[in-house]
Amino acid sequence: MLTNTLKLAWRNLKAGGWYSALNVGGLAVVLAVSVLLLWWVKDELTFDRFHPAADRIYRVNSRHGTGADEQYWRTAPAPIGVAAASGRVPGVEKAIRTAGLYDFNTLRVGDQTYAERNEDLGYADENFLDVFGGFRVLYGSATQPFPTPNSVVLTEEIAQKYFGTANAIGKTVTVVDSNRVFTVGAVLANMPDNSSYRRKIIFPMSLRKRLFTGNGPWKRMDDDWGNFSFATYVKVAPGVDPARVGKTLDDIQRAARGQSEPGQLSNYRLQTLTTQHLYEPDGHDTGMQQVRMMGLIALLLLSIGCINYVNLTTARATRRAREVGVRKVVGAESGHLMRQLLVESLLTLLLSLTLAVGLIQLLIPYYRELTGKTLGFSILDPQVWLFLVGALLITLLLAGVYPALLIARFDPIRSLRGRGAAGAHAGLRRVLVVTQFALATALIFSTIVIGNQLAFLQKRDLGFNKEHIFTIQTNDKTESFRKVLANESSIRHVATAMVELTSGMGSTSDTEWDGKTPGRSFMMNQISVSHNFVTDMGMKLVAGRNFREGKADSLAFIINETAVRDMGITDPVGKRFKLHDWDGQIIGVVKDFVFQSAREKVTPTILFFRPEWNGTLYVRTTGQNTKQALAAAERLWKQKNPQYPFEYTFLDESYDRLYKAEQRTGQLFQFFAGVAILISCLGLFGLAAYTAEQRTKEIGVRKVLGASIPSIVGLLSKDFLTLVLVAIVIASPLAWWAMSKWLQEFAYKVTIEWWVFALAGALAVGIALLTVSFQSIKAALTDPVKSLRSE
Amino acid sequence: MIQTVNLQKLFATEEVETTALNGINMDVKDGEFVAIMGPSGCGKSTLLNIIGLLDNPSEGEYNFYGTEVSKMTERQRAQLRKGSIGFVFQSFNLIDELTVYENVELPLLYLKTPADERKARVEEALNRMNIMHRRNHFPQQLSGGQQQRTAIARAVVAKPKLILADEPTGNLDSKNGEEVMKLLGELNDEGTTIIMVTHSPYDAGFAHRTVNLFDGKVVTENIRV
Repeated sequence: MLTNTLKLAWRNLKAGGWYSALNVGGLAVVLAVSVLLLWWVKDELTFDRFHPAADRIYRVNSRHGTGADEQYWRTAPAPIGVAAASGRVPGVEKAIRTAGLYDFNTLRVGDQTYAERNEDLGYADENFLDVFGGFRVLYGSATQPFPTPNSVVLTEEIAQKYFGTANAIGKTVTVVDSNRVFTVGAVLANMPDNSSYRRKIIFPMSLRKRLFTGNGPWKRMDDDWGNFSFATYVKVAPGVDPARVGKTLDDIQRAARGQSEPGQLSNYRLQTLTTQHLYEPDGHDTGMQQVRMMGLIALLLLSIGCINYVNLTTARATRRAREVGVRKVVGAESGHLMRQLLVESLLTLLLSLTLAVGLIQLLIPYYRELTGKTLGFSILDPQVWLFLVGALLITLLLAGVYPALLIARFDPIRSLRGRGAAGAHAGLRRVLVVTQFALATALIFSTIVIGNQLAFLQKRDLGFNKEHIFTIQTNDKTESFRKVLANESSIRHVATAMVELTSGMGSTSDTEWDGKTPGRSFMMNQISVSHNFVTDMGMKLVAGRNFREGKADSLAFIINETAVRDMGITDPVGKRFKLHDWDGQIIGVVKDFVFQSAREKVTPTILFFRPEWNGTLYVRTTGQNTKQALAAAERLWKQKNPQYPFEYTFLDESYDRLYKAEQRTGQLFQFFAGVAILISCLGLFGLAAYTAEQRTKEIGVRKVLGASIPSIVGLLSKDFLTLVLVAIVIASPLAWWAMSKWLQEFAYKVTIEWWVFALAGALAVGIALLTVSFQSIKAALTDPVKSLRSE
Repeated sequence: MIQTVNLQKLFATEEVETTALNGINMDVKDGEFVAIMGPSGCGKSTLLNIIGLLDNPSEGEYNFYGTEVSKMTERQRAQLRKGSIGFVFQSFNLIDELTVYENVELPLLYLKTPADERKARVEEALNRMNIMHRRNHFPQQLSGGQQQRTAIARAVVAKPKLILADEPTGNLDSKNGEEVMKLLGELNDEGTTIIMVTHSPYDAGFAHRTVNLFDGKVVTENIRV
């Protein structure tokens, strides 16, 4: 019986021709895309959970200021980590600190020099694997990854790159700046994609202590309450209230620093390790929103696919009415027919699944490019199969059972006349088409809004000219290098600053001005620039003057418009201003310039003039011959720094990176909207064909009576267009609501105008019309003699 | 033994009510060959559907081999129908996706007949209908006569007590029609009860008795002597 059922299912599938192809193809696309999406969602939700007892690990965030000045940081000062690890905080079992490394980035192994990206280097407390126990130690000891103060920990990738083997224990790496030699103490497996902490070369925190040169009154790193550079993690005992731990840390801080400067004190709040990837320190669910959005899209796509399947299957069911009738007459019961139809659905789904697996293989490179995830998805992974089979069973349940029930209940006499349940279920099919098109229209709408927002961000006035600029990081001799470079003919001018604008300048609350509320914690970005930076970057001074070359302006400050506004001062030029120990005055106000992602507002910023602090060269070429400019820069670099490789970054590319998340969202939406529309059209196409077939006789009669071809095309298309219009009416407010919510995240955003509704609607109608008219025209052109004979 | 008493069938839509059968009393004895004749719309097919347990009467009684079936549900009728009635249609009603062999095998599959016995009986039916050489063909590859012989093979393969034929020669030329009628006659000679709806007086001549319907009523009965 089963072989018979299977055989028949296969023949029915074949006999279905393009009906079957649409069904199988549509489902395969939907399965492949939604499985990839759900996989991404799963990946995002499992961030950092691979560490043992991850739910008991917390990061210590710090809160600064109150009211409008309130800010949350992901970091804490070094003494907080010391206190947490000292046993003075009840409930804390272990505490570790990690920090970024900006002191150097060039390493040498043998004759080979490697310039690493700063984000791959870091410092960590010697016992960091006590808390980050999920990092697998390949070679060396987990309890003592740094056996000596001159040890370094590498990941497998770096060990392979430097030494051609993962087992690099005992091999040495030299820091080019200082000629200090480090011995590999441990090699870790590459950190998983879903790890928030992702360093590849880790130096012991003791090195940072040694390199510490003092900060105001604080002479040792572990006493420095002013530097919030340390991501601090604690592992607490089961059942410990994290709020209590934070409170104890507040108390320890107060005891150490005294009550005298209330505005300078911070509060410490613990955030679970497992939420740090998707939630901001202030509890904002920025990452989680995207996860929800993608999960929702995956479900929407699956629904569209299921709707399609139900539509096509039930439409075709009528064609099979006679077969069902015959079977019933020769002895089949409803149960037999149900089984037969479910096996057919299962077969269709299995075929789709096979196709989907192939499709996933094809899509993986794009998936990686789009999501930025490098590992994690392999078709051999049993979890992937769990996903696939799960999706298959859900689809079978949602899409297979209903048509089977419907068909198995056909009345045998009606069926034998070829009239299963003709009109009876047209209502449901209409509802399904409306749902499907509403989803597709909403996705079209969202794609347009996201595209608009992206275009707006890219065209936004940055407050300076970022074109034709490349930046070079130097360690010293910046000023002399600047002068030499500026003489090159292909180079227009060269300015310097402390950092590259998009990499984030440091911020401080250590400021004073006349009229500042006592104790106000007011955070400002600070950046040292060269005298020509403002003019060469194309920034505009709205008041006062620029810095002058020489020593005279070392206590002069230029602030941005936002700073003027937020500080609450009028006529700032000439006013007293104190930054750290430097008591000076404001000499100018610069128009706001953008250096953060579009989600963030421009923040108060202060420019000061300490050229000797500057490590980043901003080279603006003439725009005619960039290659020549780069070659000149490289030649001069090699003369001055022979032991360092020449590296540069284009500033406009750095700015593009600020919008990477938004661009990714935009691309994903385009892609998903495309898939949704395609699948919806497949469904509509099948349904239109079915309708045309059902109305063959009517069309024949109309033609015999003199109906024109356009009038018949109109007749057949009209019904579908009505459905699509209903879909648009339903989708528009929903999509508007969802997109308004998405836009809320941006400090700078477009407004959704009426034409977006019109365009999305017109596109939906246009696509539907194209799909339906093919079938309608085909039906209208049929010879009426044939149409009438078919009855 | 089949017996109907005052059988009524009404078809009602929102606006019109049509009486298809209006008090049919009819007995068919085991081994009888009965032809039902009458103009289009007189209720022949409706009567055949009720006799074949595909439909229920609106009123009246129907005794099918000792069981009162007029109030049965579709499920109960399907159980009773299985294996005891064979159907032959004017338009053959073979399943296009199944081969000749598989079409004939279908009733036995639903009866859960063991594979060996199934094979033997299908082959016997195919041989009997002289269609064995076409066993692996699909219906579209056969002539009308061959299709109807396949349909008859399917009707007899479960060895039913009763065969219902609805204009079995309606779609065939005279030569093939003759052949089909001869086959039905042979089956009847072997003891199978046959009730056949037909427009053709020639075909009716094969039956023992002809029942004439008009407007849902039995108007005359002719017995062949």
